[in-house]
Amino acid sequence: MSKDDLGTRLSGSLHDHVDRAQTGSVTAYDVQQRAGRIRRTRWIVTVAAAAAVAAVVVPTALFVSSPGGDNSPGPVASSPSPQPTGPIDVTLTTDLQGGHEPYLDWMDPQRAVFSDGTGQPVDRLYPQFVRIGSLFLGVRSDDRGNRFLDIDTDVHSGGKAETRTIVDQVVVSRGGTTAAWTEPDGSVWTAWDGGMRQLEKQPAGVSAVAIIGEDSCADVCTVFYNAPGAGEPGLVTTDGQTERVTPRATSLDDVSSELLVAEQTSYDEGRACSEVYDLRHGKGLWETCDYTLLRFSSDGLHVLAKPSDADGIGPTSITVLSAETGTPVATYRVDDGFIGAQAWEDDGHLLFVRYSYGSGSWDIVRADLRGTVQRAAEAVNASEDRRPYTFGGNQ
Amino acid sequence: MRSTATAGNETGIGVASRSRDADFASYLAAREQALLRTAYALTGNVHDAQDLVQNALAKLYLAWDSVRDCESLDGYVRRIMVNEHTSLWRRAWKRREHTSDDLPEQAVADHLDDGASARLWSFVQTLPRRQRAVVVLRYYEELSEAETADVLGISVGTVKSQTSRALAALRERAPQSLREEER
Repeated sequence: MSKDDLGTRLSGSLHDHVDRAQTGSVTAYDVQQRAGRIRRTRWIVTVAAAAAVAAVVVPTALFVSSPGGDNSPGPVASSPSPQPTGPIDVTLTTDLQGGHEPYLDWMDPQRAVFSDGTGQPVDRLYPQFVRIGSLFLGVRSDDRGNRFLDIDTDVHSGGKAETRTIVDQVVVSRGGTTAAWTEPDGSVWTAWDGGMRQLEKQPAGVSAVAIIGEDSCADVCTVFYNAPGAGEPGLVTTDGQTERVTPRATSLDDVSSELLVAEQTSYDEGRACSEVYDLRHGKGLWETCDYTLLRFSSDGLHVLAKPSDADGIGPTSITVLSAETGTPVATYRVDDGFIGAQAWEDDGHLLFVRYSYGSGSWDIVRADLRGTVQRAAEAVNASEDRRPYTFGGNQ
Repeated sequence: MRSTATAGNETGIGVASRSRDADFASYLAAREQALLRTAYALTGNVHDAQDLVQNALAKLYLAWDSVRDCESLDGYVRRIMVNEHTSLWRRAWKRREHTSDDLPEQAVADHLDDGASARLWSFVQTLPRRQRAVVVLRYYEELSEAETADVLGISVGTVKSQTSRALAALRERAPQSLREEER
């Protein structure tokens, strides 16, 4: 079949089926309702930038007018210390029942398994990766600590592939539709399945932390970043706004879709203090020096945390805190090993890549917020510095 | 003095908004079916096609004042639809998690051959979304390579390579009967 013949037949087939299909209708009312929802989403993105300005300006004004002349930030509720017996306190034993494989994207040294049921053989295990439709972004390092981003525009059938040098990591939006990364010269890039967009350049060395926006950055989105050294965290929007994010943050951990910011506020002698800051209302919600904050759940109600004094190769416990109050909801502990990676599988389930010294193996454990646990991937023998499982998405 | 352009107790903004809505409704009435057909070619099912068109038109509605004077309203909507379609996989996957009372869409009988056209249509549905978009724009919308590149925001060279790859995939998957008919 020649190319022209096939093209002619293809055109005929498309017209034959499409032109006679009953495609229904779309009403102006439906369109206007949808437009309203899109407008509200855009408002959230816009308010992130506006709220960041207010967050920096308003508290400063309040401190100046404080009768006592105390320029310290206003009181915030301290979260309780890690309790050995919180509402839920679970030890991840090694004799767990087997459950379904992870429902999110994940990877082992032989294959990438995607949440839509597809998969792909891989020739390397990426320590971090993001997949958006057919777009694949894999982060890897070399021996000197340089980070590279392998980009494949069509992971299923082999699209355009390129590699870029990046800073730290690639991040993805809550809906899993848009990714962002930064490059050593301060370039900020966003990508979605079908397009890329460069945002306004920031100081050299900044690293992406979170991205919020619509289905893509084609219209509007905001990228939050950390600065190297003593530099302040910031944000940059598609319309070029660049702002400091909150008054006290020394570094950002995550930003929820409800515009809560998990951030570190101080670090002293190996111990970090953190807070959750509400960008919409311009105030800190709570502070803790017992935990280091990690990632919000996709509904923004909870935030993962690890002990602030955790060191070594990985934490031996992970705690779920209420995003609004800082109260521990559940703690998951590993007695004979450590947790090498963790991720929200959905709003109510967590996945851990757990190493056990006793068996010298890694497995994946699923846990829910009620304390139910099961194994989600079989144990694989590997040394403690060779984690054989990676979750897709934000780390 | 600034004109207040009132009609009765109606403000100028109200009149402008009504006029805007009327203009938009006219465009919708005129182009709705054509856009739905393009969306159907892209998605392969009516539900996703309607969702895609509704979303694209909503974005057009929000940008109406800035684009309605342009001649390329269709191009604007088409660009949104094609780019949105490539990021719809997650929603589509979520929908598969739910049961549906909808009956499967009825197959369209071939007028021109003995099922070969239907098979070709089925193969098109198996193409990766980017390639399917190129195929739809080139062979259904009958856009030139340059016009297709403009809609997709890619180079003409990429359009050529994606087209070539899509045709190669179709040729590979086409049943023997299709290939024999060409001899």
